[in-house]
Amino acid sequence: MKKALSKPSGNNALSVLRKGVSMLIKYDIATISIIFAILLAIFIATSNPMRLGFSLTSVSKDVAIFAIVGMAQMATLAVGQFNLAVGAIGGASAMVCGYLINLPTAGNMDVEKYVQAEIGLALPWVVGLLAGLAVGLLLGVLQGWLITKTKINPFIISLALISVIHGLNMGITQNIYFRKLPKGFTDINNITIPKATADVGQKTTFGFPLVFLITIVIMLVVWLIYNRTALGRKMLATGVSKRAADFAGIDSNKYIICAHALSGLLCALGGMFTASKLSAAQTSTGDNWLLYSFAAPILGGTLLNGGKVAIIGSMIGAGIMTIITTVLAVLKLDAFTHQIFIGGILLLAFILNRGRESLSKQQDRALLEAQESADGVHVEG
Amino acid sequence: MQKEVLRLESVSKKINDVKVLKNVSMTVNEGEIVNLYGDEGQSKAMIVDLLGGVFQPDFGKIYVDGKEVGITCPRDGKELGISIIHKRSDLIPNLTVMENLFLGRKDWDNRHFIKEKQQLARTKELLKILGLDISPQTMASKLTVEQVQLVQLGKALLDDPKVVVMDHTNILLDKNQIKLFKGVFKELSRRKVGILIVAQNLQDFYDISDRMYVIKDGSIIGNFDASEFDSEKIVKIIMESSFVKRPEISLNDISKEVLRVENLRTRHALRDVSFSVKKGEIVSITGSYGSRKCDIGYAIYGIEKLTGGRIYLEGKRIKIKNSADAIKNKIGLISFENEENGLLNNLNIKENISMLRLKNLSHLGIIKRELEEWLLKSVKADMQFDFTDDLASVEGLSTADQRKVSIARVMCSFPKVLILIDPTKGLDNESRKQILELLVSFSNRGVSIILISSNIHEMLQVSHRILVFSNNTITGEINENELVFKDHLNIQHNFI
Amino acid sequence: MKNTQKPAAVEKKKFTFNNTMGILLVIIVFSLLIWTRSKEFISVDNFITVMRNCSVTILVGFGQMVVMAGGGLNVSIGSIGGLAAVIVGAMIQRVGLPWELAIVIALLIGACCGAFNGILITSLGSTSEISWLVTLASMSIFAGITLTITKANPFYNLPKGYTWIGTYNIFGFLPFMIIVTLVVAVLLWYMFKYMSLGQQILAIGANQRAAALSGINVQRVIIIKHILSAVIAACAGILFSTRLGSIHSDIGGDWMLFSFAAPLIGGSRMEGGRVNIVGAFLGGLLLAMVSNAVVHLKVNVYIVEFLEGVIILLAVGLDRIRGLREEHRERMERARI
Repeated sequence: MKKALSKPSGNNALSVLRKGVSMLIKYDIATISIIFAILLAIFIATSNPMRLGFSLTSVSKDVAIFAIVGMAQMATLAVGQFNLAVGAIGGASAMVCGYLINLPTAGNMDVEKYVQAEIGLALPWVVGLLAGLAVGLLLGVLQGWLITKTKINPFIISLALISVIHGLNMGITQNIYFRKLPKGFTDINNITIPKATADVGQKTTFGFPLVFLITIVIMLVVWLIYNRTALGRKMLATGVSKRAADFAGIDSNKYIICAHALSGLLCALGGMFTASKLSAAQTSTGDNWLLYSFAAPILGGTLLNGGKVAIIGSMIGAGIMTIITTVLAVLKLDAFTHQIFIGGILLLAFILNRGRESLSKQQDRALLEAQESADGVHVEG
Repeated sequence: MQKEVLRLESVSKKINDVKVLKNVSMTVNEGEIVNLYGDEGQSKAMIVDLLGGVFQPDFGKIYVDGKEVGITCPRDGKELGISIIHKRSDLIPNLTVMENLFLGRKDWDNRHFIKEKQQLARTKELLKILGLDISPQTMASKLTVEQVQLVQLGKALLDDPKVVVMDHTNILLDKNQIKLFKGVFKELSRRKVGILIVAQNLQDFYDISDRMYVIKDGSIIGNFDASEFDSEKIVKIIMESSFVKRPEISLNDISKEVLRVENLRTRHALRDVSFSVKKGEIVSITGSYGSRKCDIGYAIYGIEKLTGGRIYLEGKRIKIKNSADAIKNKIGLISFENEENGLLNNLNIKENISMLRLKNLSHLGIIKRELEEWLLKSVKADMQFDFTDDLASVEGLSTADQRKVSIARVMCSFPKVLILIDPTKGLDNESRKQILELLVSFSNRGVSIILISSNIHEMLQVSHRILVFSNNTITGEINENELVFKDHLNIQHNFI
Repeated sequence: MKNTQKPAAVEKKKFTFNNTMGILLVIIVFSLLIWTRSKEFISVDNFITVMRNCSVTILVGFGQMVVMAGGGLNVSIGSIGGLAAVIVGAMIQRVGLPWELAIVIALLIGACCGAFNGILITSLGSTSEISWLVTLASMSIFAGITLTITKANPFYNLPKGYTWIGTYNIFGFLPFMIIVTLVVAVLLWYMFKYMSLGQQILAIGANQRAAALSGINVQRVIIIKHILSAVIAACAGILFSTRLGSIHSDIGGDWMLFSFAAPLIGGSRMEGGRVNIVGAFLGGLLLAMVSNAVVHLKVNVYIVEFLEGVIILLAVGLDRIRGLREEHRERMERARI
């Protein structure tokens, strides 16, 4: 990918800089793709060539999870809402799945060969997978239903649900780990196409992880939904303005519930991918998802207020986040500096996103609307 | 009385390629009550906005007390001595009247603390001037509509203005409301404050005005002194060239009932509303400002929840829980408020129009492009619209075009009943005529129309019947035979 | 200065007594119920413990309440608290300053954090979604700074004067910590009721457009309220560490949720425009009592989190029902039905 900057004859540095800045401000897919490409280049350049294949494979697996979690949040952003319980739903699904497929094992406290006691139903992993997805779907529907049926502020409902779901999760499982997950399940994370090798002393090769490919497929399906189906169009319409959608003859409540259901489903998938990757289901799954769930969509260009989703952008955004995290680790920067960077990037992306939203037209209209809006509109939640 | 306080000189303004104001000049003198009257159009609203700092003139100048000024934000206007009373409430509902009056006024706060005693005294004084018999500690949320307007007037008075501008467009006030205002205006005039009433209804402040400007199509076409007032003549000037062909169908021809509502009741606005509409009939519903007549439409369309009553479509009882239900039952609604016109800003023209027919245009859930194109073409042919760019976002369209798209959109669902709320609000004469003619053509084709509006002109021109809504129920009905054009001046005072 | 003569029909717009009474009732009933199962629940020792616990919770709630009153939110409260505590530790142990000075510096840094939030939010548009995102990002940034300072090593051996704040009990049974919280509560009450700043914050929360048209400098007020919120959060973080005896980077980690819980249970509106300080106080107290009871009853400790969520939903739901009924009555009167 080459930069689309040509070298003008005079005033080189200044006009190049200005063009670069204006392109950054324009902030569409081209911009983030370029940023991603640069980061990838840096990553490859600073990696040990022997381990490069393995690193790239590993990074792709992380991207997959970030992307799924990001799409989960994007699904609710589409209808103009937040799903704050992404982590909680992911964790709950992972635990339900884990419990169903875990192999019950008797434990011993042997100093030499310590084995942790495990409980579980040892069902086929497919059952666990479906159950986990069902849990995510149900929790999403619950959230959507609560939001549409009670007129309580959606933010509060989502916030309270974090406690409710996470509390239930912790309470029921007592913070157990499920570590004896069947091979079929953990293979989901391990399979790569073509098969990547990671032998010691040999050059590692790259292979597309299955989770990554699944994520790409999901991304395509989601893209199809939002761009080509009535369902997607109506969801986005609800996101732009619920009131306008209601007047347009759209059953906005139905679509809000759909959005939350989709979000919950994706959270569940993310949770189970994580469990597969760790070869263990833990209640801490999803604890740090909140920030990342917003970062990917915002980086991609999704609007916070609803009505616009950037699907490919979210994917690239997830890619950017992952590479930055990995590069920071490689550069041996403080693990703690991560937090600062991630927060800073989110802010930057958001600022650029806002700047892009057409300025004067919006302002004029906003002023006009301000003159016309009904009284008391801000008092009632 | 000849010292000028406010003057607009050769002011022109263009919005979205429409010349809203063309070389407008007007003056308000000390103590004078000036009425600015005009029909539909954005011109009057634009003058209010110019004085309020929302927009700036493209050409021309504004003078206050003889000195040229620039007003770039609401605070500028206030500081210059121009106080505007908006038609929507500016009050904060959970603060008291007194707190609302003194909100944000630095000179009334002792550095950081509130000077309650002084505020209380001044509030009582103001309330007396305004003729309001309420306690200063009353919650703003508990005020009636006209009380809100008067308190807003009070806020304006506190600014010790040189000129008060009252935005009275699209408002139908009843007798008591008008009396309260007249009293205050007369008092203000005595205190040498200039008053500009931007009005749509000729009668309201007619008898206390010293002068009247008449604006039409963006230009001032008349400047009458009180002695020259002749309401009929003025109205004729305005209405000239805006006559619309009346509906062909006379009520005697068809008697098939399409919609009947009985004892409709909603939580906030309706108490026992009943009426029926025949096929092809155009029924108008009017009522004073704040009467919430729009809720009749909202209730039938499913936006407002019905707490009582029944709806019958062609004799069969139907239940409508939300707008999607309404559409399924062939009832459509278009309101022309900003967010209520059913247009979705993130979609382009084509997508907006096809919104209600998506199921028929899809195959296995995926929308087929060719089918959408075909729909758009047939709609354009049918309604004789012509948009140069079908893929343009609806945001950039002119108001008139937006309305046409809204109408096209709803017509795609082949409604039997079409409810329209203020369809010609803010349009210029030409567009208004187009829309009204469109409605008449729908009526001729058998679509029943419920027109909820405050614009008596348009109601008189196209309706078979007019229903009057006040006190939360239908209190009067004027049918076809009784509709005489001259009556529009009297309708307000006889029935509201 | 204040006119003490108020007409009989005065509206208590800022204090919703229904809510406050309701929570008080729940607290009393709850206490009695738990006491029947575990006698130590109502005892001087337990009182001291609960008071200490709730003092921080309530303070955190106040920090959020101030921002909520104006229609925004601040999820970085936890990290600001943690940052403040860590700054104190660093100032004392690495720079060698006396602990009093360290506290002042930490509060100032807290104010800077608040200013950072406020300035960003107002330059991006001042809506609640923007507040959410900005403070979400700043939460991460502040947490990162905290971790960088401590490098995951807690500060031990804090000076006696400092830990005294957290352990001293006036008259032997009233923890000093709760006095701090009470002082803040009174100051906030005064601000919202008698100062124009408080009124302006509530006005912006109720109707931002009308507030702007009334001549209020909305941007300035929003920045000030975020600074205030951050300083209160810093207080909470410092207060917490005085009791703990050590300062570690985890402080504030789980504050996000209950920063909202106390005010919401107490009847403050999420959208702004209404605060209930007494209610927030009682709400925080109730939550502290619930966690405490769980320990006494020896039940599943994770139930607390679950209960917190349920209580919030119930409290807000009931509040909503009551609000709807009130509104309905008002509209009926106005519509002259």
